[in-house]
Amino acid sequence: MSTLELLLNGFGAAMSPENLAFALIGCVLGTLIGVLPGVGPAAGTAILIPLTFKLDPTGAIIMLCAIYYGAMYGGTITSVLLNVPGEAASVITCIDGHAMAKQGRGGTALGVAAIGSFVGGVFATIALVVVAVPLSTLALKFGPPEFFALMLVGLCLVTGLAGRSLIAGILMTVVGLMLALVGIDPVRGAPRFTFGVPDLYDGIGFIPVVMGLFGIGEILMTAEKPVREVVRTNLSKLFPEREEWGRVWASIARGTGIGFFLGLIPGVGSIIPTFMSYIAEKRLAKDPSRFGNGAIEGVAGPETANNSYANAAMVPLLTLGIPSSPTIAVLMGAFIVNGLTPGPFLFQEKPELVWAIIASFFIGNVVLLILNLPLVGLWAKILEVPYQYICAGTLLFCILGAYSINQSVFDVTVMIICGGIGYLLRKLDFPLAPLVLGIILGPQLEKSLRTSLEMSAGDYTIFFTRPITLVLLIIAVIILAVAALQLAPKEIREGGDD
Amino acid sequence: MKRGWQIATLGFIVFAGLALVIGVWGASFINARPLPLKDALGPGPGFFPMWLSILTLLLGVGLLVEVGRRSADYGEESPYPQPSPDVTRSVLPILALLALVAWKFPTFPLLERIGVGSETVRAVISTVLAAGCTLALVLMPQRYDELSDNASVLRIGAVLGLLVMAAATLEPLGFRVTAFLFTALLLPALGARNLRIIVPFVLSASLGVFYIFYHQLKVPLPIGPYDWIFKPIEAAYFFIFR
Repeated sequence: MSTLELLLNGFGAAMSPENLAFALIGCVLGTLIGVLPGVGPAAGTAILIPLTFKLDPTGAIIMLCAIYYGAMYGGTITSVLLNVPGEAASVITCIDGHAMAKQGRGGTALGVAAIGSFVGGVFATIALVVVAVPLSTLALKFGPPEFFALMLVGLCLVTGLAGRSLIAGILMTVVGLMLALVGIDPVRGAPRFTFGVPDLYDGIGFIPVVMGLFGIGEILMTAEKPVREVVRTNLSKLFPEREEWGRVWASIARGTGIGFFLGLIPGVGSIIPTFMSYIAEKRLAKDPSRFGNGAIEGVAGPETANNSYANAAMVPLLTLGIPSSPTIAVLMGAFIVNGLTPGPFLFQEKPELVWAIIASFFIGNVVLLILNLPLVGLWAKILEVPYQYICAGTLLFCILGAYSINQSVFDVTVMIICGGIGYLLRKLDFPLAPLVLGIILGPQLEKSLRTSLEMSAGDYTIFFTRPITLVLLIIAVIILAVAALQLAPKEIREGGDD
Repeated sequence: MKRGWQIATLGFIVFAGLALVIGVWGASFINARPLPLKDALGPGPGFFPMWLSILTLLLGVGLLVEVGRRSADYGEESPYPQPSPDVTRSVLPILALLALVAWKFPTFPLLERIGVGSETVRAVISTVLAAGCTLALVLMPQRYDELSDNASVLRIGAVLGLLVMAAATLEPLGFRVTAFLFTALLLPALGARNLRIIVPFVLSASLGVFYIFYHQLKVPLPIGPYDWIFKPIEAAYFFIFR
């Protein structure tokens, strides 16, 4: 069957009334999560996994994916109206989006963001349809050494792009990999670091870890300084002025491209595409001084890149089984909870399901546009809910979510401990994304490393004699070297200032 | 801040050191068994853990050196409230610890041998603890104004302490009691005062959420020993709110 036929079949499945309803519910809940300060998309998606327990796998994944990109859009609303990013990818939107809100153009900022998100999301999904089959066919030719090298590239990227200290980034990755060691050894089945505690034999579940690090950690940060101010702005005018449209479309086109290409690379988090797009818009603008004072391109470009990235990041997940960001890692966990392993085999084993999910991305993007343009005012109202209730409600859902995955209080305990650790690491500015990706990629990384060495009877040259592996390893080294070079002078400078 | 980084990094070093000594090499003092580094087919189960632990140790030392060198952005002055010897603030962490100990208490083999270890005992201990937390938190908010600088520390303590309480009471008392206590204690602790919002919120959080997730979405949540209390309340609640 051709790709188009598969996609049309997918649409047939995704357009069933119940799947449409799941996409709609997912978009509403996702936007709500994005709007609520203190709950990012990673924690939000994790918290809502129990909602999908009763659904069939297709419906469950469609709903969780809708929650994911709904949350990616919802973060924009708080950026514009509160100057508080709902999630990391909306940080850059605060600059011009909030400035626009203060000038009484909040509605326009949110409208442009919704249109940009829609265009970016739809184009990225079209591109996903085009590259998915060739990429998954290529990935089927990969052996353990290639997968090991590929995952190493992903980890190096997320480490190198993580923060102000490369050593801290690598340290967090390695600590994540170490946490993944707890439980049964993936190759020989030997128990490791279990200390006779039965709960540890299944390992440390990464969903409670994500809920703790990102959910509870963020809530503790908001509980610390709960004061926030909603800007009163005009939300009735959603579209830009006629003379602005030209600039807006150009920004949206650039944002789509930037978001898509960066989404393809495993390990590039959601922040980088938005920053790249902002920088590109500022460089290309005739009058860069407008940026920071409510330039509409400063909202259109990054917001498009954000959603384009969010949809493109599905490519490495679906074709290679490698998550790009903590949120995608949570989605991967949701696939696994539903008995599906993302990766090249999924296209062969469950084509009807994969294509239904891909078709649902199109539907989800349409739903988001329909939902967000008229409902902007309603979302703005939600921001006025006192934080105490948001905090109490979210924490309760964290407890419920962590418990219901395995009906285990142990998972709740893991979540609380990770919440405390996440709060401290956040305050100290240790990067958290490498830790989470380390936990999720750990077992696969170890398995592919050890299987490679078994293939070569312990000979390490297997990583240097296979061309794809060698190229990937060289890329990994380059990434770390570049990151080290970029960070080193800055640190010396910072040290020398004082 | 700088001190914070150093302490955190030392924490990672200790973590990696323990993992290496106990988990990989199987230190004899706790009767752990070493993980084989190699076996007939190739690298054994201990191979990856050993190299990761060593890498963590090296990175930890590297980070300590790096942090020690730079003084600019991690000056001694922290922008965040520093802990001070205030009795009220230590109440919550102590209660939280007690909750953890009590929750694990009955599983100690020695206590089981003398008959302490049944579900009832766990339920009683958790109930008493929950009541203790209630008292501590109800009394505490009146001091918020005096402690305005330390209010954020108190709020964080309240969130963490109540989370531990919730984990401790979830199975012995059931989801509804836990959710009720958790929200009813947390909202005032965070500064909510309007009873006309608090009461419906708390009821919805315990009974409403339980109804939706347990009855409608079939998510298995702990029922607890007080189901007989909730049957009539649930009936009345849904009679009023439907």
